[in-house]
Amino acid sequence: MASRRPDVAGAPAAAVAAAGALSAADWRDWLALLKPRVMSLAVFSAACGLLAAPVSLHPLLAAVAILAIAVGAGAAGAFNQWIEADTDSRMRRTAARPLAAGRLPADEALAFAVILAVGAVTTLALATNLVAAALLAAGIVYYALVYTVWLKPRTPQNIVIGGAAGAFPPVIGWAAATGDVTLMPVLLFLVIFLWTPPHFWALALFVAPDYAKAGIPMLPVTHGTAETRRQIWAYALALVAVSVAPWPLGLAGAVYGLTAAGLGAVFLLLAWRVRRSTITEPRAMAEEKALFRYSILYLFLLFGALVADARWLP
Amino acid sequence: MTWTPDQLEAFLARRRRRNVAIAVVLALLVMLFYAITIGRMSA
Repeated sequence: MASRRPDVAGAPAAAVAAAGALSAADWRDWLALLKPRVMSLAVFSAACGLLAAPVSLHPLLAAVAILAIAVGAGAAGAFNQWIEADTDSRMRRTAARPLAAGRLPADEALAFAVILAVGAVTTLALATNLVAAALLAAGIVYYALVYTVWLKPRTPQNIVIGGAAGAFPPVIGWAAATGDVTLMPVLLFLVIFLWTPPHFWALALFVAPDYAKAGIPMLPVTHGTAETRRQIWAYALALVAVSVAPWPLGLAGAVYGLTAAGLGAVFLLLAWRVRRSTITEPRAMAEEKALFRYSILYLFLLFGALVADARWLP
Repeated sequence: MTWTPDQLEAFLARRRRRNVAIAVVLALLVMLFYAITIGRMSA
């Protein structure tokens, strides 16, 4: 079938409608829809789960598995932005996102998310096994529906619950290699689950006015800065305990254990400074900003040490 | 409703870019599934 070039003057209504359906968004908007920064964390933790597993996957299949997990995480991010476009447009931090800013039509974004999600789960099932594919599907559904639609707008514990969605990738990586979920991937799940609240609440403390404006019940908005600081400290304690646990349990070696202990000590020090702080002016919250920045480095170094311990050290 | 020459050109350029992108994605998918097949056979 040959496509007909529409006339300049008096273009057919169908062609004009087609022009409207073709958004002006470019590749950067489509990429932003996938939340590449969140995706990079998912890719990293999934790769670590896969590499730390006691079974080696064929390198080609391992690369496909990581790609599928990355696309699945991106699809979850796209669903999240599609659902939250209205809320995002009211917050300074998120107002420039392609859907919130109106550069991308909502129906195109939804179709994109559905295609990516189905494609990623199918590809992971074909390349590895059904356990990993089912976990990826569960992770996407959990993030898009349980977290974004149901709990995030309703409870100040939204970050805790949302942390579970971000904790799926290392378990999926492990399952992709082994076809099974044992104690070690559960501990990796718990590490990210317990890391998420201090990480995001440190951020939420210095952007609290933005969340309040958007009507999102983040903990600093609903329970104040003092309660948020107390909970950051409590989660930091639990995080460090769980992160070191694989060593005494015999699931990881001394290199991992000592690295986890050292990194955890710094995390506790920064969390304690946040706990002691009484600053309420967001721009003056240096301790919170320091904890937020360090928490990202912490997770990358911790998982890096896990892989090094499992694969390359005696 | 009519298009100006600029609007028409912009539309055609967008459509061309999208068609190329879809073609590239389909070609990558073919390569991906080929890689999966090879990987599974040799695993």
